Amino acid sequence: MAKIKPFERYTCKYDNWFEENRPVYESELGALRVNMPPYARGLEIGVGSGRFAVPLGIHFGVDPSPRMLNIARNRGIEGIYGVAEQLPFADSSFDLVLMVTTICFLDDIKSAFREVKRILNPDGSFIIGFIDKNSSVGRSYQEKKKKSVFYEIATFYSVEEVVKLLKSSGFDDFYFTQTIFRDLKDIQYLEPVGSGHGKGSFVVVRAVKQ
Amino acid sequence: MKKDLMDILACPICKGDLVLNISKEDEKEIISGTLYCSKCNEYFPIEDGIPNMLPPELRE
Repeated sequence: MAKIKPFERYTCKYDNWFEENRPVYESELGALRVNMPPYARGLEIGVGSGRFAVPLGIHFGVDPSPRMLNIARNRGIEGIYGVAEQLPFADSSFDLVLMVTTICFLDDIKSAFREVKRILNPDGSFIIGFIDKNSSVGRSYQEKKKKSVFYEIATFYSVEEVVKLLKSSGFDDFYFTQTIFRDLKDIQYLEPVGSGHGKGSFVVVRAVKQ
Repeated sequence: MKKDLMDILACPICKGDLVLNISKEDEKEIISGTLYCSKCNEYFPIEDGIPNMLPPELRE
């Protein structure tokens, strides 16, 4: 079952987080931006209220939550209700597919990755932004899991687990960027963005369809 | 939804082509209607400009 309940109930709480944590949000956008190749047609899966798709110039967005998608639509996104595991698109429809803090909410990550491969053009890029399970923020999210209306339903992944899943789904040519090098409460300014992974809590993986 | 979304939309179950039936549209886009998959015999509604492409068992 698609995990939409907290997103329907706490839509404002979700969307306000980005205003209340602007330096964190802007740092994550920075790590995504430098890891995105030029593309013609892009889709964000789990687009939510459009907080990432809009500034990154992605036009199409899929999400199962009506309240979230209505906000995204008002922000200019062409929204479609759907789930990642059963995408409503023809084969080879996009050059770029993005997921940001979405993999932790998927019901079946393997089916979702297979679907992304199917809808990407040959040599299309799959960009995944997520909190590394083994990072300091990742560890604190797991400790606080029961207390967060969003994260109590989440499954966190390490970079190694994501890469393994991507490889077995037919992706290769990995490139990593990272940011968020301190605790979220200590971040008052934009965090640096670096290549690689293992130091920053927010990691962006770019992989190419083989 | 804009009409050119039909170029890439497909049935979420069989990935086959869909037949568009428009109930209401303005100069910019389709406001309401249905998308029909003849192979699966399923209708997917378009409401308030957004196509609902959730598989039937996941709809509210």
